Amino acid sequence: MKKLSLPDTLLLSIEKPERYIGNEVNAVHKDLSQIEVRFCMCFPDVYEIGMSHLGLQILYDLFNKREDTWCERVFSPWMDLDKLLREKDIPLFALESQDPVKDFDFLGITLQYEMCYTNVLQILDLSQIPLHSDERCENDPIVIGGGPAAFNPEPLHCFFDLFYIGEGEVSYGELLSVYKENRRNKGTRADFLRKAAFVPGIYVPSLYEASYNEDGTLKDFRPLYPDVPEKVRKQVVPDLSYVNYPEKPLIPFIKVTQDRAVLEVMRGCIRGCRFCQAGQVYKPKRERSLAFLKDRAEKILSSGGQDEISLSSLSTSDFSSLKELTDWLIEKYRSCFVNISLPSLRIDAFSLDLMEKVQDVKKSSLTFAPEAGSQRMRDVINKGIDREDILRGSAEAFKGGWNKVKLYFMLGLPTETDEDVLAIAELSDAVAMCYYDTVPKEKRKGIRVQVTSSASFFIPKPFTPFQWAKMDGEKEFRRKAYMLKEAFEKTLNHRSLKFQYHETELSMLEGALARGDRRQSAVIEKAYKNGSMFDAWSEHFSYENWLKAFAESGLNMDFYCLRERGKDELFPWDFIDIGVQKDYLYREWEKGLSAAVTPNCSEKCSLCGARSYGCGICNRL
Amino acid sequence: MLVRIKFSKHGLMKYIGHLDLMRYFQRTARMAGLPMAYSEGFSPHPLLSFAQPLSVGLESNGEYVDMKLKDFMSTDNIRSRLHNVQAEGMGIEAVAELPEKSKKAMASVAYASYYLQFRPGRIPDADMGAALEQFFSLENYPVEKTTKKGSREIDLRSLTRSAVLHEGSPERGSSFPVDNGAYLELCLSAESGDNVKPEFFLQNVLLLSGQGPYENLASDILVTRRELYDSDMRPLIEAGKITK
Repeated sequence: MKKLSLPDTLLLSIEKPERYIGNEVNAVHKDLSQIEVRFCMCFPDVYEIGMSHLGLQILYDLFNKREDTWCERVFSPWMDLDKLLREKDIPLFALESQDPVKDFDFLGITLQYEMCYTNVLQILDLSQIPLHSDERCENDPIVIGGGPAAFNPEPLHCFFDLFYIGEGEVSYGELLSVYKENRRNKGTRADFLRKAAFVPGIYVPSLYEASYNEDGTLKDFRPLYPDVPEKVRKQVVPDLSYVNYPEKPLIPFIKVTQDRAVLEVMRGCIRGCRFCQAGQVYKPKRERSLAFLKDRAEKILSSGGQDEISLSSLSTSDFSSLKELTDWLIEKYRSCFVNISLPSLRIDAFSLDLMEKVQDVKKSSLTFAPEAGSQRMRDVINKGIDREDILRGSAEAFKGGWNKVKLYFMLGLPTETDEDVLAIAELSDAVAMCYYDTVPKEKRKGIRVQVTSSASFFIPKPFTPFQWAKMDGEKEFRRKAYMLKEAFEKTLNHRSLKFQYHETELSMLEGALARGDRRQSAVIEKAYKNGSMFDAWSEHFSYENWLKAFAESGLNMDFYCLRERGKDELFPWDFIDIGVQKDYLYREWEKGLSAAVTPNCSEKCSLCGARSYGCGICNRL
Repeated sequence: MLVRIKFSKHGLMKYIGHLDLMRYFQRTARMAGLPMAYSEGFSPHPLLSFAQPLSVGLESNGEYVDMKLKDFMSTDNIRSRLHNVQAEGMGIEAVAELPEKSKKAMASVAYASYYLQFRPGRIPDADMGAALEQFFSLENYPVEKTTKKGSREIDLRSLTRSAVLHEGSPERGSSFPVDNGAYLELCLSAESGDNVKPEFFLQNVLLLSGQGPYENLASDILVTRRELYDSDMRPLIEAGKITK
């Protein structure tokens, strides 16, 4: 039997022991005597969330294909085990070998959202690794962060030794070579960090310093040494059909959040929605070839035995071989009852037809994301769809037999007026009305259409045209939400409509951390030490804790959230080069303010700067 | 074709709950390329049916699942295909083809046999031998059984087929090291409604001799299910035949 880090009686006393035992089908085990680098990959949330993440599976596979490296996994222990590990002084361990994380060469932590920051500290703390990079000694693992939230790594700068900016497939090979060479040469931890700064995409926060103006804005950000690069460039896989993709995905025993095979059909997005960070940071749009995808689909399904495969990307409708791929999958797998799931489709006749084909019986609910209620507002955010598109899509869906629709909106977008807010209720009502106009009474079978509209609060993110924008305050958010709720109650079809909105407090914190700077690391540490953890789980989130932590650190959330930035303000993340240029983003910001639309990448190149990567859609033009 | 699969569940697999095990089995059957038959209707699911759920924390040498296949395949072939895709701790013990109109494993189960060991340092201060002797001298032993559906009286004596105290350690007992020189071998009713759990048996036998109740008895013992039997005390696998 494989060894276990936790005693049997302890495992049987906690919730879901399966989270902590490893041993899943396709988990990788290696002979330690043949291994030079031990890498522990961490998703700082509970197992079921972490194991649903494709990026983790990609990197796990990438590292384990190397003969000299063994990559294992660790997730945030849930509250019950967290408490026991502290009480019994058991160091956090990796799932495969069950060895303590602190014995590894690397601890890689993926940062998918700001709300996981306190869990990063939980992982370090439970692993018995010093929280601060400068307190770590030669035997501690190198702690490296990556993922979308690493595009503004500054709030976490002192907890990480390194950050990896961009797609993991590109530079990890070089980073590990530098690590091995440094060790061969008896170099120190400091030597390694210095050398790592020259690996493309690697940011070593301890080699840079920041200074601030009296008004609290960033004054200057520069390397401490003249040879350390001033800019860190995002890494991009130029051709996704010639890169590693996991063929034997890990198959968890527990039901995880996304319990299906995932086929990533492309990266990047052509759409240019002005609020969207993923749309900018994953540019350029690059597709995988049909041959590559067919090959991987076959391999994954035969080695993983899943009964569902999801075609994943930021906007799957824009994948040019979508029809061919789904037709092929249906043809090949219908007889073995493999479902095909198509998230993130734009709702039009074409995609409805596709959905009809892949899920002939289960017509659960359709999701549209108009994001804003009025056309003016949708032009401000460059959503690229109009009222007609939405109503036509709805009509098609209702004709096709769907009778549940979810609509996603944002409140608090730049330039938003009360009129724009109220338009959300009006549009939702029009969608419901469209059902009654489209489906004749005798075909409704007594069923009333169900339109669920959800509003989240707009949070400006780094590397978007809206990175200059101010957020609405909590009071304003609540005022708008209540006003909208009332408007929903007054609609003609109010009995078919449901309106819900996100928590304002969580949105404020996310807003503050998203555009945070180095000074916030003290806030995060205080919040953690006062008991904040699992902030993304509303039952564990304590806003008071965070407000206190900001106040004790002499910082103010309003400074980060409520302030519109000037054209020339230096941002904490400006040292990262994502290809897309700041002046392009500013042009987009100005265009947004005047509700001027920008064509998408397939219509016309807007010279954003991503072309410098020389790949994907940028090459076609 | 209808097949019955006998599998064992040891080591780390004992932490896998019943629902997760069902999903795991569907997955591994797909990975093994078995042509599973599916149910009709809105959400077709593979026709798999387990004899009896095993509680988390128990190991087993004899669990059963019946599976319907669309096409014929020799049982040897099925066994080796399944064997190749199992996680460590899961063993495919035997595969047999069932006659066309067989009773489901779930409906056939009448008895289950167990090994029961105490964790080191958790042996109750009790004379087990005397307690068992007293128990078997009774003709009836009515006890209250509480389930989710409420509580009712059952006759523990008539639902107990055998209970023997052995010295040493059982062959294929717990994968977790136990070294206290003695173990119980039990054969208890496993019929639905009258299912007797090993710790329930033990608690009541000890009570009979004036000992206990022991509060955390379930966590003081390590239980391995040995086999499931029909009402004629035939292991369930014997209802089918093995084909090459």
